[in-house]
Amino acid sequence: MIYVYLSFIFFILAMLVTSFKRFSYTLITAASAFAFVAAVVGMRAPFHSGAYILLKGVDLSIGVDHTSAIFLFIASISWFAISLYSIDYGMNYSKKMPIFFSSALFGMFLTLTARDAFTFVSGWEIATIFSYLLIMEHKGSFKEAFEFLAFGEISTVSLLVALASLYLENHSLSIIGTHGNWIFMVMATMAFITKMGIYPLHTWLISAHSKAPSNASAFLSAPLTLMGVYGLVRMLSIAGQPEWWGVLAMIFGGFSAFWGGLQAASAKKLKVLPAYSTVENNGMILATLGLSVTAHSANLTALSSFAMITSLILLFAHITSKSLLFMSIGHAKEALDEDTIDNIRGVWTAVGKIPAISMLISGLSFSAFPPIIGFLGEWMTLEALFQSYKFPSMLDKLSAAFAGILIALAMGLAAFSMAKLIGYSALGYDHGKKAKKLPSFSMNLSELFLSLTVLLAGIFSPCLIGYFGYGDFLSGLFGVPKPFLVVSSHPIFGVMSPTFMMIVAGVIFLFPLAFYILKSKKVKKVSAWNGGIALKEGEYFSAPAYSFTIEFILRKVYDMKEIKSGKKRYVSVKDVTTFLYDGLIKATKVTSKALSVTLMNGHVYSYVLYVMVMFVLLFFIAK
Amino acid sequence: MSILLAHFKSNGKEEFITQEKGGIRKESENKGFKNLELIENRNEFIVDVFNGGKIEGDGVFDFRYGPVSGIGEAGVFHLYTYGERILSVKIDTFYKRRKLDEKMIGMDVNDALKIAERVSGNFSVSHSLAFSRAIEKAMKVEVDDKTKRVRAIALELERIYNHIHVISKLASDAAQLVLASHLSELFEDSLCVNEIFSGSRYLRDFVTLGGVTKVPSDKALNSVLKEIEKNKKSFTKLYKNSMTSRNYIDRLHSTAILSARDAAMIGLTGPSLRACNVKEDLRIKDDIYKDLKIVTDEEGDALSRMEVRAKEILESMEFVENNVKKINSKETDRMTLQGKGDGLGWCESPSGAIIYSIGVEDSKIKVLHVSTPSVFGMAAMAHSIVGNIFTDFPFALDSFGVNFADAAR
Repeated sequence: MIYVYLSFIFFILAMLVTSFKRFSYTLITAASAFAFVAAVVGMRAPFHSGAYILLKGVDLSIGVDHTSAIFLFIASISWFAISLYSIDYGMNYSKKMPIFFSSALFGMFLTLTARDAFTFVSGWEIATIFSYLLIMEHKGSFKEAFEFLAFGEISTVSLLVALASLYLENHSLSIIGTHGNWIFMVMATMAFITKMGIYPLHTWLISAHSKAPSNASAFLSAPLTLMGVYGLVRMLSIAGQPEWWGVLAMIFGGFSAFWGGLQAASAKKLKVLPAYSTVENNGMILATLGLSVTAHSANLTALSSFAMITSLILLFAHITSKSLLFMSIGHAKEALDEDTIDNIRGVWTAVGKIPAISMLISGLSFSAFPPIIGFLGEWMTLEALFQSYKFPSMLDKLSAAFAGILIALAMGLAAFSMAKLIGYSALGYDHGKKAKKLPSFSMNLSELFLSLTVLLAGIFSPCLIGYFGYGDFLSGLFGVPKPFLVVSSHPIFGVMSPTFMMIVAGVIFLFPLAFYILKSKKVKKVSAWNGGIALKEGEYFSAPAYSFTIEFILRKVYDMKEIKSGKKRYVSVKDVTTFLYDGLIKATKVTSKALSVTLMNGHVYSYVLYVMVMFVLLFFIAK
Repeated sequence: MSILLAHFKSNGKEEFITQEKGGIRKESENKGFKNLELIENRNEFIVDVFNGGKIEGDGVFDFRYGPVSGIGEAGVFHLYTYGERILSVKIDTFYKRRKLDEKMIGMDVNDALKIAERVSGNFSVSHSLAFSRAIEKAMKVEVDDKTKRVRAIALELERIYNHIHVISKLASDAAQLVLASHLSELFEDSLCVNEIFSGSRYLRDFVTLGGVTKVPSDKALNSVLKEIEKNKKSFTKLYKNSMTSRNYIDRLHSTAILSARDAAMIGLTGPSLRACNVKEDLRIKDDIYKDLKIVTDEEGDALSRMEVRAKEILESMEFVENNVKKINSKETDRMTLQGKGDGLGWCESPSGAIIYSIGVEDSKIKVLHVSTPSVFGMAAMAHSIVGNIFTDFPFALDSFGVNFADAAR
């Protein structure tokens, strides 16, 4: 428990010294490191604080068991990197930012270590409110921050209803060893998938990310959405694993992954693309969780476990790679003062090699490039889905096949969009814009740390699987020693060894390449040319043009319009889900206006009538 | 419908050269011609006369095609796009601008003829004929009927091989490689006919001031007749077969559509204008062409342009067959042209009207203005391609049968 307390203390200390921004962020970095140690200790031997009885049936307790240790392990890596990054990045923002940042992390830490509903929901709400304030740190982001808060409160209210139901069922607010009914399950799912940004509850995530400071975007997109996944896993341990939930999770998850991938493919704004990528990743995580639950209900325990570790690997890949992506993008965005993919070309030369390499590694991870961790996550997802033929129920088989098709499409779209992002930003031609000189030591250090984490976690992913307690899926075969071969089932269905893939790739490509680079003569570099003359600024193939074909083919889905306005031409695409919310807002306004005219119009008779009608209604309801 | 083809100042007065009902005339009044700016800027760039060139917007970029890539000539197409869609085209003629029309001023008329002939190699007869007619008018010389007929045959032979070349390129663009290969063979055969007729595969050095270099021998004329008959059969068969290929037709149909009104306002002439259902041809007022059937089509797209050219090949072949029989190999009298004056000469080239307005003094060129069909063909292409996609570009370009050498001079 000492590391948990140390972490709490450092988070609180960071809040107190918020005026000293660098020092405050350093303390948050230390707090994150203690949280990581707590996770490592908890993974080996779970611990808790003991109960503090607040009221009868309301025992407050914190601790780390195997489940929370895994999530804390993943989250704390991201916290550490983001807070280290913020030591320099945070200098561009106000003195209030460290307190918001520290409080949001504190809230998350509380949620992940909570053993009772009260602590859980307190941490949940603290994280939500301070995340809202973090978004507000960016000028002109009130609307987006408010949208985030609105969805955050929908999530909290759903969670409160779920926990009230849990209390009524168990007369206890403990989230360990209690049982939940279907109301608890539905409301808790609603609360958690809102946080994960699952379709159609993803719109907040897109607008908030594009406006928030980049360290906040990384935080919102990675650790905050992790809380949703953690909540779902906890909820499943309380409410059981019914087949209907698994089927719905596969369908919603699959569709969400597809939708996220589809929208990412058309994204032009620098931070909108990774935001949609989060919707896609979380969709895949939800679908594999659904697959695990469905397999469990069909007594396919091996498949259930494999799908669960697939979820965790996907989560690890998403949290680390997405934090890295947002941080490196934020680095370039801040240095070049641009916010579109098109205008950030040439990060490698204009901003620096570390942010460019970071973008490249994170983008390749999301494109499932072997042996990076994202590759293993996606391979495991497909392997798990391929095994859905084992399901006895036709509904389960069809649902898994449906989810599988959508996820396969999502993977393709993700690779397409990431190729656009890294192709234009990290590897694109420098368009000659001079980058601002930023204090970037901690930013570079943090990006380097996460780049290595993403790369090494991929190469040594079998170790990660074993560490999370799923050693059953590790084996040795074809000369690959145990535990470096990941097997997707027993008896063996499919195998993969990222470690040996790296060794083989190293022998075949990397070592000869390194030898060539070291030994080769200096290469003469010339500017890119076309048709015999050098390319001018306006002649580079633009990022929107890269997406035009897919937008045109799916123009109904994108509500794509080719706009002509004087001498200006551009393409307009929309996430059509926003129409749903636009309709809701419109309906609310119309209803409010109608009510204000009919009932709340200032006439005392109307009020009296209103009061009487409500009284009669309540009388009948209460009766 | 009056089509403006040239505009210049002569003795301080503005002159507008227009084409209407198969004739060319000078006008002094600006009737609100839409393509005036195009004519004035043609030495720098050619754009759509209705919408201009450069377009801006989010994601819009200049997809530059040229000056040394794929198009076979030194020219640049600036395709403004935000993806596949072509939003606007700006054509840069700078790289091919040799200022030949400027160089001709001050030259002896016979030397200038050689330059005119070389403005565009594939329009050698058309340019030299229009130039010669302008000089002959300036010097008030009337050529005899036999010369007119021999020149007309040469002009039609030029039309035949140019049209075959255009259709061959369209077939190649549509990946109809068998058709394209057969047409290439026919193209080669047509060049051989030219050589038999004139001694030059590209009919060079044939038209002279007041006459032709050499009237073909009876043997050569018989060979021409025989070869044309053979080529006519081959082409008829190929054309008939090509029109059954859906892949080929689909690529051309509805590509780069042009309305008759827009075409006329741009200044388009020749087969591309006739493909917009406009019966406009400079040959119709010529007695030699009295039996010529003017081919038109209704759609105004790349397919119509191809069909008009295909039918014109057959018409021209028939013209050659009929007229070769009417001439003998006896040489015509050679004329020496001297004197001064102003003349306007024109002819219906394979791609439309070529006009020379020339002022001569002491057998030297004092003033010269030239109008070439490729300027208007390119502007028409720039207008009709808007809204089409990249893959339509070669069909649009090739269907107009234009080239940079002719446009840039």
